[in-house]
Amino acid sequence: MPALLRYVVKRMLIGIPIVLGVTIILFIATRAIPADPIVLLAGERVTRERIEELRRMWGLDQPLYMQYLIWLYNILHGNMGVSIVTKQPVFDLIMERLPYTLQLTVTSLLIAYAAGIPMGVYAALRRGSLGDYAAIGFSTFFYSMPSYWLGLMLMVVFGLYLRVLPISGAGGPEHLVLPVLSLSLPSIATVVRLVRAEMLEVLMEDYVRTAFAKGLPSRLVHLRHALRNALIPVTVLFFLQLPWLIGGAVVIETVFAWPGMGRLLYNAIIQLDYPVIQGIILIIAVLTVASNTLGDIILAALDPRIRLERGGE
Amino acid sequence: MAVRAGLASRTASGAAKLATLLASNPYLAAGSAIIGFVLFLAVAAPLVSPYHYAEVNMEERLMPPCPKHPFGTDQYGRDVLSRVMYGASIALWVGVLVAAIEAAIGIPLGLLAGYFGGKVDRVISAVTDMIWAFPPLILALGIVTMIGAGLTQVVIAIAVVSWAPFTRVTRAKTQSLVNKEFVIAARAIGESSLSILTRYILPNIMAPNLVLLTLTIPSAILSTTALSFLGFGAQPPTPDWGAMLSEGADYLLSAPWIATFPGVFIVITALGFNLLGDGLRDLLDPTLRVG
Repeated sequence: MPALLRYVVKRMLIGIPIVLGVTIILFIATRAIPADPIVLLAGERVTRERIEELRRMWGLDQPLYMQYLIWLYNILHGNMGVSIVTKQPVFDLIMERLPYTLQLTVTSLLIAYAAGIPMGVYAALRRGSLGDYAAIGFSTFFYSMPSYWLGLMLMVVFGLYLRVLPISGAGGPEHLVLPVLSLSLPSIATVVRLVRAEMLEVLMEDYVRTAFAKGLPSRLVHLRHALRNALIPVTVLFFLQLPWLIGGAVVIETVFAWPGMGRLLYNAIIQLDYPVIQGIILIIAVLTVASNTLGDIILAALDPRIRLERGGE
Repeated sequence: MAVRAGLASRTASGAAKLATLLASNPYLAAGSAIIGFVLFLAVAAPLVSPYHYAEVNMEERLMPPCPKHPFGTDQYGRDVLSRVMYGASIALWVGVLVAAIEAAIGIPLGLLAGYFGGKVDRVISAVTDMIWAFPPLILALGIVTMIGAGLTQVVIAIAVVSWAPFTRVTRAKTQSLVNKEFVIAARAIGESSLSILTRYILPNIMAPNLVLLTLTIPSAILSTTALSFLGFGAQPPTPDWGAMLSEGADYLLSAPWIATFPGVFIVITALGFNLLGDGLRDLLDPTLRVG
């Protein structure tokens, strides 16, 4: 088996126990919540017999590990229970909202990278210049800004004065502009700093010096030799940051009334809709593990040293 | 006289040294100045703020900024400037407290993982990586769902999900020290592991952790105010900046100043700590240098 394929399989197998670990924690956590799920589901005015019957039906009379296995079995079959509030299946609720959240977060991250990579390269090539300080200063300023407050201020500017963009809800691409700006501007700093640091490091490597010594034009060396290698860790960071941004989207979706998973989670917490909370956290956990695994696999594909080191034994 | 002159010249040279240091390290200078200002607000709020943070005056509600209320008033006629000033001490307390709890969890774990290696390292590293991968805000929301809303609960929730960087930094630094001669020598003369960790290794891992601590404070402030903004943190009438933003959001288009000023001060405070952290990093840990 080629080393890369072996690495991919190995890396994907590591993800499984992590997801299982999360399900166990989540299962115990929901059992620790001071509320009887049956009473929540059935309401308080049902007879004792009915509650016992429901308890049996949901397997809650079984020992704890059996309850866990039943629960896990149901989840693996896409059955995450029903929302206490709307009585709709949790899985359907989430799948309805997930595309909105992904649309918002992936667009934001792409824009942060589109802005951050050139800024980082410029800062590295002009190290110590005014432009370098400006790039770091600009990105640190937005990094210090709460994304939801930036969102509120954009709403004031566009809702009160400019009136050219919708300030809430979803619809055409114009609905994306303000929430995406609020999420992407604070994320630029991480990209700028990493690109800058990686470029500075790569520029000191022997092969870059050799390329210069051969008399290649500096533009070519910077782009072909330096940037290409500096971008490897930057690509990986993309996949590490994606889950974090999904977390940040909870607040932004609430501010802009964006119909994504984050707003669903917020409402579920307010209404103590435990099955929905549990379902969303589980989906986010799976997304996180998937995103991290993908990042590692792409790293191995781009950097042969990794797969030889970690996958080849 | 001579003694006094000597003392004076020593303080003068100390001040001159400090001046050179700040001049050569603009991040440190700007960061210290900003944090000094916020610290002043926090300490002086009860003395210099024009009103008490909970002072309701329904006749002056929703007033735009004016000489009497430079930052305007909110829906209860409370003075926004006074509330923002009182809020400074909450933000600083919360930021420092979260960062301290994270360090208290993360550093010992990193020491153990780095020093003992092997199975201990594998278990600690796996847990650390796992917690670090998950979106902290989601985890914290999950915890708050279980333990209830409130500022203390939010502090605990954020700290419990965000300590991983301390473990990573401490572990890497400890690994680089374990085979240094002074540690081997200590082991050879029969020092216990505990003594080696606390007396030989701990002092040498303080610098990067101090930098990390400084950089953790702003992200702690941003996370806790985000949870307060969502309504899970500080409850009214506490002048927490995040809670103020939450109330201000309801009057965003009719009285935008209520949501504007607390946010401005969150940015100022977070920026101050971020600059201070960058400056400290340049000063203490040249290997991690940004500028």
